[in-house]
Amino acid sequence: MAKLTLFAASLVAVLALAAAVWLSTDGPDTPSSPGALPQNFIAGIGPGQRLCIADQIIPPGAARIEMTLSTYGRPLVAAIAVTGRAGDKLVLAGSRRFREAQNVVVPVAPTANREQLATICLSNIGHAEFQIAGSSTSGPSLRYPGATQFSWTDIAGEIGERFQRVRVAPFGAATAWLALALALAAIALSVGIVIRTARQ
Amino acid sequence: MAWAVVTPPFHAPDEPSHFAYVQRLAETGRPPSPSELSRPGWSSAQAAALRAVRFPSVRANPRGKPPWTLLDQRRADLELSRRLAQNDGGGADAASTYPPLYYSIESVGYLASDALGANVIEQLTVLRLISCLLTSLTTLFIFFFIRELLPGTPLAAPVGALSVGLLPYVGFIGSSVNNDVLMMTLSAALFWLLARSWRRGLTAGAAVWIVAVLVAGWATKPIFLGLVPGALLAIVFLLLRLRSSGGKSLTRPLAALIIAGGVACGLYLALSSGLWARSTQPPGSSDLVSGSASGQAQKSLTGFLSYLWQYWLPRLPFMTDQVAEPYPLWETMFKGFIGRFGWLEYQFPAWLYSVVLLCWVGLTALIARALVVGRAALRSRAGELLVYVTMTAGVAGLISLVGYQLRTGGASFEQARYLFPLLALFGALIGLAVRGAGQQLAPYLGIAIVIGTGALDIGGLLMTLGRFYA
Repeated sequence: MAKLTLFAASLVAVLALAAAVWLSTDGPDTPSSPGALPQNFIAGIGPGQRLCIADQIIPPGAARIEMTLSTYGRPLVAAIAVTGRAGDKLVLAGSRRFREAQNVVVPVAPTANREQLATICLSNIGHAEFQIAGSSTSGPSLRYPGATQFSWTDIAGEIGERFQRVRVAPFGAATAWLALALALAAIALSVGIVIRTARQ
Repeated sequence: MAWAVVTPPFHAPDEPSHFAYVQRLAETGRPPSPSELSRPGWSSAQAAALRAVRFPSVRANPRGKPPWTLLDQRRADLELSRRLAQNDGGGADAASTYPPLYYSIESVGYLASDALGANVIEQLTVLRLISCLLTSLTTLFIFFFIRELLPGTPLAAPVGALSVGLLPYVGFIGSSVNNDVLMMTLSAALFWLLARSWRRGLTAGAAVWIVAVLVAGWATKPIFLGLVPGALLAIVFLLLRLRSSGGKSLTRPLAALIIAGGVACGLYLALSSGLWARSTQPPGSSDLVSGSASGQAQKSLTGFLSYLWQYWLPRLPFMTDQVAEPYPLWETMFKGFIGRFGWLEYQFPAWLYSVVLLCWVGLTALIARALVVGRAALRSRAGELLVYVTMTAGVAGLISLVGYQLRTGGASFEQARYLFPLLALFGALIGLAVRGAGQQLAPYLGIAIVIGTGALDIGGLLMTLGRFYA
């Protein structure tokens, strides 16, 4: 039983580690800058009205914008159009119909491969008023699912170098990776405790 | 401890405010007051450190990166080496309404590191390490709690406790400077003490410890008060059990409860009104009682009940939409509990939360099996179960009560970490699932849970490195 348990542990450990590395490069949802999570509804947009948000940083690869919208709890169909402009240049546009309250994902085009600073305008192009969620201090929450992906093999060396600056890093460039090794050791120890308890 | 090292300085929720509280308390001997509006929130030394790490432009901004070049380091060294005042901050800020117990413990580390000539960033690291020690204690108390709760399943305690200790959000908050850290330690200790008293009877010593933990929780963070109704119910049950068993041993625990309660409450009240010169009333509690509106919208009992329902359960068709998220239990609490980091600006990919939910569906089936198989024992422990349900309802109700008050004022409150008083019960549920798996499968399930949670932890750490340094 002990050998079988150890085998299972090793197998799961390898799979879990691979999954952990993979998921960590999959790019978290990226709110607009300054970041705002949808904490409460902060503004209403009536039919024909428009809400513009200046100085939004659009991450490279952004093909969708996600917002939390609500028709005030009423079962109505509403429609939103999104446009982003850097100066006079239109850098993205898209539109979407939605019903009641939900996270609305608006596909936008074109997709740029570099970061852009733009003013994003949200227009109500339907017949029902809706409200948008965000933070009362940071503004409406605009998120860019799937943007900002990177490869660990490209940046692993640089991360250690960058990590040691302006903080406590007793082992210099190795500090970040030693911290990860410490976490792995804690997991290994935890598995050891479970196996030992099971044997007893 | 890995989280304490990896998370950049001040990039945990409200960490600058909590550090400022410790600094103010250690430097002046007095905690901050929410009424000191004219005093700066941060001292000159802390403000310089925040500038050195480019805090304002990096906080909650996923595209913002901390300083990472050699030139940045030289500039920061110059900034941090200036002998700036450390006692001119700690005015009204996000943490100034909190009671001072956690900050008093942290101030020992602050003074020790200050005596060794540490700068603000080094002091912050020392404070984080003290938080790590408290979080380790939390895990230990949860282990003891589950061992008392499920003595017939030896694997339940280590698996339950380790799955809490390895949870990335617990690691992230538990290694930051935040009074949630001590609150979760005290909550776990309270659950252990109560479970121990259920098993072995309420002794005078246990009664003193229970009262001490309750008062310490009161002196740490108001959300801890959500556990108090359940704890008081437990004490009543335990005393009744002693009386029904003959009453001989009732006098000493009862006397211990009264004396310890009087002494602890008296000491806290005396310190608060004397040395610390601050109110012991939880912030906003006058609003809770009087219903006076400090915000823009009207508050009402029906409004609160509707809000409470909508927050924890799906909204019914006739209810006015009061909550931004379609399913806050899922969006804020479940996802947050699994992992949301920094100033809540980055999290795991959306699909991962669905995978974890699927795992929890499986674990729930095992928990149900354990409860059905052990239903006879469960009936005999109905009182204990009622206590834990009351404690859960108390915390959930208090979160929503404060959340309702703040939301009607245009602000928001709820975060998954406010469920941390219930971490011991979370660990116990994991332990129950292990029990439900049966003797043959339990080791495999235990290993899978520990490794799965550990993988989330490593994923969170890697994601943090990617967020700030990629």
